[in-house]
Formats: sequence, structure tokens, C-alpha cells
Amino acid sequence: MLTLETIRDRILEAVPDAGVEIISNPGPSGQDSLLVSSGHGLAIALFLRDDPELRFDYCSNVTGVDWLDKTVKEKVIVREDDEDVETQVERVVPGYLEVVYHLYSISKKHGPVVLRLRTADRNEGVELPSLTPVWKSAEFQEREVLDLYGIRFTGHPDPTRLLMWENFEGHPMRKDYCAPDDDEPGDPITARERKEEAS
Amino acid sequence: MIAIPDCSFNTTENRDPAAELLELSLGPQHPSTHGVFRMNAVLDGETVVRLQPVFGYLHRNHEKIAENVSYLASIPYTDRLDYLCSLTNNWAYALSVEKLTGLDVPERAEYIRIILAELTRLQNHTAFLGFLLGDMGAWGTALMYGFRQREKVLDLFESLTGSRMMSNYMRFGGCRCDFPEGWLEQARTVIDEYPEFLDEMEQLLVSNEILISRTQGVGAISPERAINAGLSGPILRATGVDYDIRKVDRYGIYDRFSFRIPIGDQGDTYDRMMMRLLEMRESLKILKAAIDEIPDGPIVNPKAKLRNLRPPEGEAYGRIESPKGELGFYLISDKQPQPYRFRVRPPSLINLTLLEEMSIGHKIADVMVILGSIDIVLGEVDR
Amino acid sequence: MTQLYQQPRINGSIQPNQEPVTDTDMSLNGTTKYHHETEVSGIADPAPANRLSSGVPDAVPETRLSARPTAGEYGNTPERRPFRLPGSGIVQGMMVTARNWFGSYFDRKRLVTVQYPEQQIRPPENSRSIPFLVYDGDDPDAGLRCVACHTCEKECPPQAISIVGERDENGKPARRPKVFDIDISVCMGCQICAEVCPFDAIKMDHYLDHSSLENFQSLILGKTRLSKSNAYFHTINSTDATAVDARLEADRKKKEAARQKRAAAK
Repeated sequence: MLTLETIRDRILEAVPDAGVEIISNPGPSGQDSLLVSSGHGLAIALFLRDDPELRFDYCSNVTGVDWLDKTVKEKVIVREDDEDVETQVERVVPGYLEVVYHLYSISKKHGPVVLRLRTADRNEGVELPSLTPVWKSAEFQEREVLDLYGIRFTGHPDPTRLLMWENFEGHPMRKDYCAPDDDEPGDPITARERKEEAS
Repeated sequence: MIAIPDCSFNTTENRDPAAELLELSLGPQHPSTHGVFRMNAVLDGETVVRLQPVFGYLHRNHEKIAENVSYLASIPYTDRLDYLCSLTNNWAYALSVEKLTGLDVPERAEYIRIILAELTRLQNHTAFLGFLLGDMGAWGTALMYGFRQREKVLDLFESLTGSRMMSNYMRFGGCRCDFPEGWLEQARTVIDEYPEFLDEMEQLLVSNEILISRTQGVGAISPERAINAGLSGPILRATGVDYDIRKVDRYGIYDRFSFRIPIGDQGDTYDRMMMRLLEMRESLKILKAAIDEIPDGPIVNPKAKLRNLRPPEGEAYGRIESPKGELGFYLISDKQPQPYRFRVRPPSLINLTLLEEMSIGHKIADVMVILGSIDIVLGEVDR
Repeated sequence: MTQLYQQPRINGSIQPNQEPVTDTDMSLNGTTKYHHETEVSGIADPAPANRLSSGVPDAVPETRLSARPTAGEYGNTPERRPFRLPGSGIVQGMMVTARNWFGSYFDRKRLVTVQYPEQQIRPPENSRSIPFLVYDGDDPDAGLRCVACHTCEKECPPQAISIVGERDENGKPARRPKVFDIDISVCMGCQICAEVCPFDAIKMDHYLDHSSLENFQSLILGKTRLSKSNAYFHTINSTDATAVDARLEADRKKKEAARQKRAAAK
């Protein structure tokens, strides 16, 4: 009987100062996930694959998720003239990109374990270790994440775009990506809608 | 007199002409690449030294579209992923949304889904045999026999879902409409006639010496490699790995039916072809049992919402055994009418991971056969 | 090459088990000798507590002998073939081709095509191409069921529908469309508009020949070209049309009864 808690403990046993955190899933599917610190990503992946009891030999799905900056309103108690005053403060939680791995075990027939790796931010620190050396199935999918989300994978054998062409600019799956206006000029419905919008 | 072509442009004075490598770009419009798929091959003579697949010619960012439309409006888009098997695509998506929302499916709807999924498997594998033979150069005969039989299944699809290929049929918590009158009888006739067709196909193919020499030992892979590269479906089982999601996950009501999973042992093109032939017989078993046992009842969960579905916050990954392999949908909901994240796990794309390894050392003509035996559909590879 | 012909790997590849696993062996009451590996494993939708339990009893060895089907069960797959004449497989295949060729002269099952433009097969009732608007009676304008509620416009996945509602002289919505355009170069015939329409006003057509010489204007079908009578709907899909008629009639009666009740109360 393996639960996510025991998996976490086993990981911490094998890879001592790794940061592993359980992210609970509020939905009815109950698929919780393990958030793994990016520095130890490769070691943890190797452990999950090769540990004889866990044996997650099959990395089924690799994908990216884009979490934008969030503005959180919180109540903060400020001390003012020897009196505690509650004021509302807006705080910006910086966004990040996330790579999600769905692992199964074919030899043990269990799974899925959801593994998450997060980047530092959405602009400069978008580097994550590639898990392609551990599971070859991640090769194309990590390239796709690189292409559509712009995460740089260190250690990937062929870090090029997968679906878009080489000179394409931007990463279309990011939430703040703006597609170029490619409406055909002769289309009467578009023209009418534009007119309505303008009026 | 035969004219000898002038090959002098290919050599330089200091080099041994025999050591020259040739770069060859196959596709994206080659008839054997099953659509707009391109491969950059490096050849030594006729032997493949390197092979790099190039994707994206059919990319329309299905995932981005789905993140901008409602949950319901994504169903017709999933039809267009693997356009040969729209019903299993529908099912995989519906299953994921059902996991996300915690919806149950009525029993009759589960039976309908199984009947349609197995019919889809039948017609996909039937078309596959035809395409594979086409890739080997047997244009026409096998393909036409396959298509003749497949049409009968497509007729069934059309009279139920309204369309031969773009079914748009499954709904969250059930199915869209019930069988029209006489549909089950027609289906039973098709299923009863199928073994005859399979016998004929086997007689035509299985012991054909040309086919055997073109497929046996071609593109073999080891089970360890196949698992590590994430292969799924018949081509994983051809390597000898006993893994079928219908048995492992038991989604739907597959645990009520008795069927077996064919398993190969060499992992070569021949095994991959045989997996399909044998799987069809097993599908027929499931179909017969399902049609006999299908109960009456509602076909959609009354709690299910058609429009304005806002699943509770959370995420879900649902997967099924589609004819091509493991088809999964990963959804994240933030309580909006559109999914926050919509991801398709495309078996066709991931099954291509080992294309280079399978092809290296074989002749360029075998690459076509290997590619054909993987059974890709570009609508799903590029999405 | 001859050796290859003599030992076709058919037997090696899809070999019967020494003790074939029968279906009863594959059941879950696992005291049988051979466990079917995939049968005893698996987690479909496990309860959160044992989400990751493998369910595989420890005693099951990791062998792969189980699911290989037996040859005899599978039609023509030969069980043992120590020697075969080279070329006999091709001859067998030729026999199949010959049977189909001669058969196509006598057997309807082997000749399935029709001479298309002259001969046409009637599509099944549920078949669909693009949507059309249903009107009752003879007047396409007055009888149109559409009330311009914009439901289909919102739900249409590729946003092919564009509706502008009519307004009466006071500027109030008049519950009928002034403009109802469907761009059939965008429409993918998914029938979601017909499915969500609360008034049964939009239905799926069978008509397929929509080619035109011009890219934009002639592929945008307006209200007049989309409107088709209920009688036409009966000719293409009488089952659905009859059901819709009955439903609308029942609705009308209910409304009528409610109105009379209200009138009586006054």
C-alpha cells in the first residue's frame, strides 16, 4: 500500500535535502501531486524510476502549465498609535511556469503519480532540468513544452521547437500571448463585427 | 543502350565516393507519410544512418482553442485529433471531464460507449492493415478490402451519430442520443460478418512470403526501450509487455467482459501487424457480449449539465486505451466555463519517439513500413 | 531466404501456451495456477486512501506468458507448419483476390459501390451536413421558429453563426432575427447549435453540394437561404420531425391551458 506521503518520505530518505511537497487537489478526482524542487528533479526522477518498490518506469504525460501573476488582497494588522488597525493590502504573488509529469508503473501496475516542477518566474528564470535522460518519452513532450511555453530544459538532447517553425517568436500557450491579427480582409462578417465594436 | 547517369557532382577528388552520406527529406507531402509528416533521413547508400522527424505542418494549437471555448464546444474539436477514431477521442475527453466533475455514467451509456469504442477499434485496425500494405507497395487491393469492410462500420456510425467520422457523440455523464430503430440488429449483422473478413484478410496477408520478408525482423525494439520511450497500445504489446489500459484501469465497465490481450515477442513490424489482427477478434468478443447484455435505461446522467459547465476547482488526468495507444486528457479547472489547462496526451506523437531507433540500419524503403506499422494520424501528432 | 520461408515466425510469434489460459482462469478468484497478470492488477478509480496501491499480490511472479492467445482459436492462423512450399502464401493470397474478383459479378456483398452521380444512396435520417432554420407553414418569414435568443451563436465552437435580432418600432426586441448568417466555410457541422436550441428552430440538413466560385460572400448563407419548411424536415428526418411536432404541440396546449386558467381567474 503506497500513499503519496510514503512516497514523499521515501524520496526524502533517498535524496536527503530535496524539497518535496504534496500539493493537494481539491477536485473530486483526488489526484494529488508532488511538488519537487528543481535542483533535485533529476535525482528524484531517477529514484522514482529505479526504486524496486516504486518502479515508475513509464512517464506517460508531460505538459506545461502557465500560472500568471496573481494579485491577492489580504488583511494586515498594522500598529498605529499603539492601536492595532486592520487594513487591506494588495500583494502580487509572482507567477511561474510549471511542468507536470504523469508517472505510471508498468511492472507494478500502479499510478499515476503526478510530479510537478516549477520555474522561478515567467521571464528569466525559466530553466528546469530535463527528465529525458530518465524517461525517453519526455523527449518530444519537453520539446513541445519548450516550444509552447518557453521553458528551457537543461540536459535535453535536442532543445529545439517541436511544432512551431524555427523563427517563430513567442510561446503561444502562455496565457498572455496575443495572437497576430490574421483576419482575412474580405470577410464581411468580421467587417460587420468590427463596425459594431467601433460604434 | 542504357544511359549511365552522370554522378560526378556527388564526389570530390579527395573523397571516397562510397563514404558519401546522402541527406534525404521525405515529405511533408509523401503519400506514405500518412499526411503532412516529414522525415529528414541521412542515408549511407540505401541504409538509414540518422532519421529526424519534423512535426508541426498540421498544428493548429487545439489546446489553446480548447482553453478559449466551453467544455462542450471542445468535443467536436477532439473528433479532429485522430480523425479515424473520433469516438474514442470523445470518450477520453468525456472521461476526464467526468473525473474532474465527479459525474457518474448510467449503465446503458457505458454499454453504448464500449460498443462504439470497440467498433472504432475494429475500423481503425481494418484501415491500418490497408494502409500498411499500401506502404509496402501493395497499393489498392488490401486497402480496398479493408475500406469495403470499414464502410459498414462507418454506416453504423452515421446512422447513430450523424457523421461517418466526426461523430461528436459522447457527452459528460453519458451519450448524446440513443440508438435509432434497428441499429443493434444492423450492428449484430456487421459483427457476425466480420470474422469472415478477418479470415480472408489473414489468408491474404499472414503467410504471404513478401510480407513476411518485408516485416519480420524489421524495426524490432526491446520491451525495456519501449516502456522507457512511452510507447503504448499495440506497438507496446508487440514487444511483449502485458499492458492494456482496458485491463489495468478498468475504466467504463471493461471488467465485465472477458477478453484477452494479444502479446507479441519480437517487437518487430510483423508483431505489430499481428497485434491488430488479433485484437480485432477480441473486440468482436466484447462487442457480441455487450450487444447481448445491453440494458434499458437512461443514456445520460440527469445531473449532467450540457451548457455552462463549471467543474469544481481541481485537476484530473483521464486516459483510455484508444486504438492507437494511451490517449489521455489532462484538465485543470478554475471554476470557469473554460478549462484553465487542456492537454491532450497524443499516443501517435509519443509512439514516434523510437522511430529513429527502429529505422537505423534498415533500408530507406523499410522506413515507410515501420512508420506505417506505428499507425499515426497527423491530426493527433501535430494537434 | 528459403529458410525464412520454411520457418515462418508466425508460430514463434503468436504461439499457443503450453497450458492455455482459459477465461475462467482469468477471473479474479485467484487460486488458479496461472494468474492473468493484467486481470489481478490495476486501479481504475481507486478510493483516495489506497490511491497508489498496486493491487498485485506479492506471490505473482513477473512473467509474461499469460495473454498469448492460442492459434486454433484464431481462424486461419496456422498452428504448426513445419514446411511450406515457397510461394504458397502468395498463391493463397491470389485465391482471395480471385474470389473477390469473380464474386463481384454475382455477390452483392462483394460489389458495394454505386454509380455515384446518377445513383445515390439515401443518407440515414440522423445524417448531417450543415444547419438550416425550420419554419412552420408556408411563409418563411412569419413561420420562422427562431426567436434570436443567441444561444446557438454563443455555443457554436468555431463561431460560425452571427445573429442580429429584429427590433420593433419602439426599439424593443421583436423575438425574431433580422440577420441570421452561417459562414459555412467555418461551420464544421457538429450539430451543437441544433442540440442546444431551446425552440427546435435549427436542425441539421442533408444537403452537401455547397461549392461556390467565390470565397466569402457566397459561402455565408443568410436567413433566406437557410430557411426551410417543416415539411422538408419531415422528408429528411421524419422520426425527429414527428417528435419535435408532438413536443411543440404539447407545449402550445400547455400554454393555452395556462392562459385560459389565468383568464378564468380574472
